[in-house]
Amino acid sequence: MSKPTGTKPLLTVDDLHVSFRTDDGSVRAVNGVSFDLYPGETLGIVGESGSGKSVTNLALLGLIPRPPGVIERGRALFGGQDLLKLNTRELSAIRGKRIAMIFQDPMTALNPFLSVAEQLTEVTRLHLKHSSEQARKHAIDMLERVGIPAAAERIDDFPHQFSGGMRQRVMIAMALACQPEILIADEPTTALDVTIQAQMLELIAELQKTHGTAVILVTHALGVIASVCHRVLVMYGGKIVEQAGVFELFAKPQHPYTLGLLKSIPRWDAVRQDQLAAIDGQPPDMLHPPTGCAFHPRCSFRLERCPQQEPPLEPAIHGGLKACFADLTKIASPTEQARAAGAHS
Amino acid sequence: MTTTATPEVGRRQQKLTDKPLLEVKDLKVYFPKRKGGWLFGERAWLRAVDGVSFTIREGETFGLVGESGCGKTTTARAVIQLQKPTSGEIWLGGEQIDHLTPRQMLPHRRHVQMIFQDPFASLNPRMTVGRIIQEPMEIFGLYGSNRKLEAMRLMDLVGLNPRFLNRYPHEFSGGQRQRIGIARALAVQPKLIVCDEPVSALDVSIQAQVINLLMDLQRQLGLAYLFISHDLSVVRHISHRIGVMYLGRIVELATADALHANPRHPYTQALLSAAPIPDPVLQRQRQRIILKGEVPSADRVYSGCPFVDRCPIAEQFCREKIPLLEGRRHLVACHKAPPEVE
Repeated sequence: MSKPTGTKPLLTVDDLHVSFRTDDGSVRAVNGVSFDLYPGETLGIVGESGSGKSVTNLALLGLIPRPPGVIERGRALFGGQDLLKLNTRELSAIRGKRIAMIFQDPMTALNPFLSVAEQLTEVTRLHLKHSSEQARKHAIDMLERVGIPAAAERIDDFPHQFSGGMRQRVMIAMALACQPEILIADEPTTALDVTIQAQMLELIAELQKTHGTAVILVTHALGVIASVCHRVLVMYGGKIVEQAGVFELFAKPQHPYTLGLLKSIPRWDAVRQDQLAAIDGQPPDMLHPPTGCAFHPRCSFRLERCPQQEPPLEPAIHGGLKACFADLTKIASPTEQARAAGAHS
Repeated sequence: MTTTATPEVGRRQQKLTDKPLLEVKDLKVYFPKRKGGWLFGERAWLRAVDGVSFTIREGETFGLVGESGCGKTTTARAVIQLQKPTSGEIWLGGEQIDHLTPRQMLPHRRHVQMIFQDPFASLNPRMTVGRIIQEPMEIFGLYGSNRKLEAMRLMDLVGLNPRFLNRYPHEFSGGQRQRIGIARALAVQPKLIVCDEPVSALDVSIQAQVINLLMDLQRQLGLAYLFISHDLSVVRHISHRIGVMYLGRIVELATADALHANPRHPYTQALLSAAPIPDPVLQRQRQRIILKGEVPSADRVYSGCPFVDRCPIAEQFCREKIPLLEGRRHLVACHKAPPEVE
C-alpha cells in the first residue's frame, strides 16, 4: 500500500520551513517538508539526530519554543484549519483531543508531583467535559485497555511507582483518552527494552485498529519501521529525501542514504558480514550545511552536479518519491539480498 | 582448524591464544536496600550480579547482552574496579585483583581501560583532545617527551585528523567523540577494553563506523573486549563468545555462531524474537514470543528458576530448584533446555 486511494488526507503538510536563531547564526532545521497523512495509516519518519524529524512534529503542535524557533514558511492543513496559524487557545482545543503525542522518555513527560489519576482525568475533563466521576471511570478503563494490571488500584499511584514500560503505557493511555484522529509518537520505544518495545508496538497497532487513529511514528530504528508502518518518509538534513510504501522502500531503496542505512545495520537473522558497510563521514552540521545535496559529502553515488545543485523530490520507480540525481534503479536491495542469502523469520 | 570460505567463519579464524586474560569467578554484587519503609522496613539486598563467571582470552571479544537491570553494567564496573564485589574473584593476567587497594590496583589499571556509552558526558569539556589523550600517559609515566606525538599517532589510528589536537570535545560530532574516547583508552596500551554500550547513543549511520573501528583495532593490536550491549545483532557481529544475562545471572553462554544457530534458553529465544528485524516481509511473518510482564525486581530471593514467572515453557519443578549454568561448550541455565548439539 503506497498511498490509500480514494480517501482524502487527514493532514497535509506543505513546504514547512523551521529555523532556530542561535548566536552563531540561523540553523535551518526543517527545510521544505511536505507530506500527507491519511486516516488509519501509520506513517514512519526515519532519520538521524538533527535530520528535522522531531522538529517537524513539534511544529505541527505549536511546541517549537519561539524564540529561538521561527516557522519561516509553510502550512499544515488539518480539518480546514492551518495548524501553524492557530493561537494558543485554538491549539489547546486540538492538542490532546484531536492530535495527541507520545514522547520518548515517559519519566520527563509525566508530572512527578501528580498522581496518574490526576494526569489522566485532566485530559478528559478538559476536552470531553467529563465530570470527575466519569473521568475517573474512563481513566481506569483506558489503563485497563493498555494492559496495566489492577488499574483501579494503581490509578492513584505516582509516576515513579511505575516501571519504564508501565509509564509508557500510562502515556499511551493519556494520549488515546480522547480518541484522537492523529497520534504522533516520537521515538516511543527507544528508551524501552526490546521485550517491552514489542509489547508497546503491538499495543499501538491494536488501539489504532479499534479507533482508526492515524499514527506518525518517528524513529531511527529501521526494525521498528519494518514492523508497523505503512508508508515511510526518510529525512536527511532537514528534508525528505525519500518517500515510499514500507515494502517498496525496503525492496527498492532509491536514495543512497536509505540504501546506506539498510546496508550498515548488523542483522541477527542474516548471514554475518565480515565488515559492516558503514556510511562514511559525519552527519551534516546544520549551521553550515553542505551546498547542493546535503548528503553529497558522504555519498558513494555522487555526480558532478551534486555539490552545486539540489535534487528535487521526484517520482521514483517504487511508486514513491526520491530526491537524488543518481540512478539507483539497478542497485540490488540489501534487504532482498539478505533474504536470498537465507535470512529468515 | 579447517579453512572454510564462508564469511560466517572467516573472522573467527584469527588466532586466539588459550591464555585467559580475565577470569571472573562467581561474582556477586549486592546493594543494600530497605523494603517497606526506611525505619521499620526489613533489610533486603538488591542482587544486581548474582554469581557470574566467565573468562576472556587475549584478543577475544566477549559480549554480554541483556535488558536494563540485568546486571551487565554492574559486572563491567566490577571488572574495572569501579564497584567493589560482594563476593567472588576477579583475576587479570594470572593475578587476583578484586581485593587490591587503589594504590595496589594502579599498575593493573593500565591493562584494563573503558569506553563509555555517552560520548558527550565522558569527555572533560574543558580539556583539548590532545590533553584528554595524553592524561592517561602522564598518570602511568609513558612516552616521556613523545606524548604529543603519540597522541597524534593515536588520533590518526582511530580516524581523527591529528591537526585537531587542540580542539575541544564540543567541536566534534557524537561519532568523533566516541573515537576520542577510544584513543584515550588506547593511550596506555591496554590488553582489555571494557565497552559499555559504546554505540547505542550514536546515529545508525555512525554505529557501523565505530564497530568497524573497534574490530580493526582488535586485529591490529590484539586487544580483548568485554562488550556490553542490549542489541543482540551488534553483539553477535562483534563478539567471539556471548553471555546472555537475566536478573544478575548468565543464563546462556556460547560462541556467537552457536548462539545464533541454536539459542537454547527460552529467554534468549524471546529476546531474539522480540528484536524487530529490518525487513517488513520477514518481520510481518514472524511468530513472536511475547513475554508476560516485566523483569521482576532484583531484591526477590528465588528458590527456583528466576525466569519462571515469565517463561513460556515453565513447569512446576522449575520453581523448586535453581538451574545451574551447565554444558560442555554451549552452556545454559534451564531445566528444560534441549540437549547440547555437538
